[in-house]
Amino acid sequence: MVVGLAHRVLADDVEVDDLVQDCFVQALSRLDTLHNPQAFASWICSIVVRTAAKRLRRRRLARRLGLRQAAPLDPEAIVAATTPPDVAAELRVVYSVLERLPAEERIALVLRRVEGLQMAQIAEQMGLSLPTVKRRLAAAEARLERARRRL
Amino acid sequence: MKDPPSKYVQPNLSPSRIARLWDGISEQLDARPRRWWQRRWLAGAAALSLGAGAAGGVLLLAGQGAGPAEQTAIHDAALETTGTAMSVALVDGSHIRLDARTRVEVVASESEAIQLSLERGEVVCDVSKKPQRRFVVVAGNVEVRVVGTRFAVRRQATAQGDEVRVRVERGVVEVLAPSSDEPRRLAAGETWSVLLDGSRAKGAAATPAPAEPRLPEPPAAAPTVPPADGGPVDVPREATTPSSSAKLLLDRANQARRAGDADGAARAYAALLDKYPGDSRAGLAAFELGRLRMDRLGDLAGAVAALKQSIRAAPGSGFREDALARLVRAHAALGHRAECERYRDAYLKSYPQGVHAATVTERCGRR
Repeated sequence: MVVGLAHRVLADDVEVDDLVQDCFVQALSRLDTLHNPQAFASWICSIVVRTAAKRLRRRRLARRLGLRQAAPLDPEAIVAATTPPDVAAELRVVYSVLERLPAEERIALVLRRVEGLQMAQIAEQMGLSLPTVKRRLAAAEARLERARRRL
Repeated sequence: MKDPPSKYVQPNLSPSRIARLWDGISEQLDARPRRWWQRRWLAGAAALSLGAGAAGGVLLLAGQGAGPAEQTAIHDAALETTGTAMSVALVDGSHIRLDARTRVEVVASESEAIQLSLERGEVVCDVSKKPQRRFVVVAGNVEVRVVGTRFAVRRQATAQGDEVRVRVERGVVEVLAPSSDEPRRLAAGETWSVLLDGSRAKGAAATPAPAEPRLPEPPAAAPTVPPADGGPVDVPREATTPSSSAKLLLDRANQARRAGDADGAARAYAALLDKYPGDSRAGLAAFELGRLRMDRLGDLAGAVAALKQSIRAAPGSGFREDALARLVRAHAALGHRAECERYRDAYLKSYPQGVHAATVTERCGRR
């Protein structure tokens, strides 16, 4: 679950392992803040989402400073070969725009279009208000739409 | 109800990758003081969350303590006996029997991969026949892999150092030791033993035991350990006490890697390997160096050297499977067909059902 979410958000196997380790270390260090054990899954997913957001912001900054090269994602390598054609086409468009999005837009888009979460769930996991999530998603969807028109 | 698209975007989550992740998590947690509830949650919560199909892998042990309750204890994902032996039934139908004063930690507990780490004492494993399931017992840097059998692994302190002894009662097992890239097969009635240099580190000098097969040669860098004659033996113990400098270098390398500084991380990993080749962290450092050179630095030849070193330094590690698969890929990219085929065959022999089996099979051209 944790590795899967990290993989879908970062789409970079090298960084995924570091993110997962960071998240578990954080989670195990903050277990006393988990008051409802039944909510463990959403609690640790929110840690993944927020830690991934920090990494993605650092990644964009490093690119702007010329410290890191922008490597385009290869949707074919990310999407399983057994994916139904309509789902595969949608996922390819999503992953083709992902690297160009700011961190919060990227994560909101993945949670909505890939994880299939509701707005309220996205807001909870990202630690943002519902209106903010809607604004982030609207911006991401606009870019997605432009990408669809180009394809 | 329609499946979410996430079902079709899944990571390649092999048991070896999970083991490697836990190595990293444990390493970071070890640096922090932990409270009792954190220790208790470590196994349960992590098993629930780390793997995608974790629901079937949470409970490895359906414990049946044979001894008095006060004599046995289960801590996190570990079994420990004090004065009395204990038998435990595993969910796959296998049984293990822990001798008195034995500690076994559960490293992996998936339906297709069970890995136990013997910290001390003796464990006798009566393993059910299940071809799809890997069953491995690790003792120090020795890995005993089950082919379908009953066998015992003992780890005990001797005058010469920590000794790991494997005794096969029925069937066949494979043993991996630092002195060899290839596993050695032990049949029923055979015994094999090895002295570890330090409790977890390099080692691999072999001591003869009655009715045991020919033993692997020790590596060039390993100290020479004379045969056991009952007298005191002065054995160099470079890795007996954990090197804080090696730990610092590993921490520095990991920090650099996480910060995206591939060159800095590679330099720190290489420094660790250069200065502390016998340290228990050397295998992991070599593997990470190999990954960096391959994925970030475009240095395939350097990656090959590091990955080979990782297998030599930690033959029983969780990342051996990934290291072998990467060696196949690297040699294929370099056009080294013979080497590619050699590592491909080694991978398929060790991990016929491994997660990289399909991709490895297609490398190096036609078989």
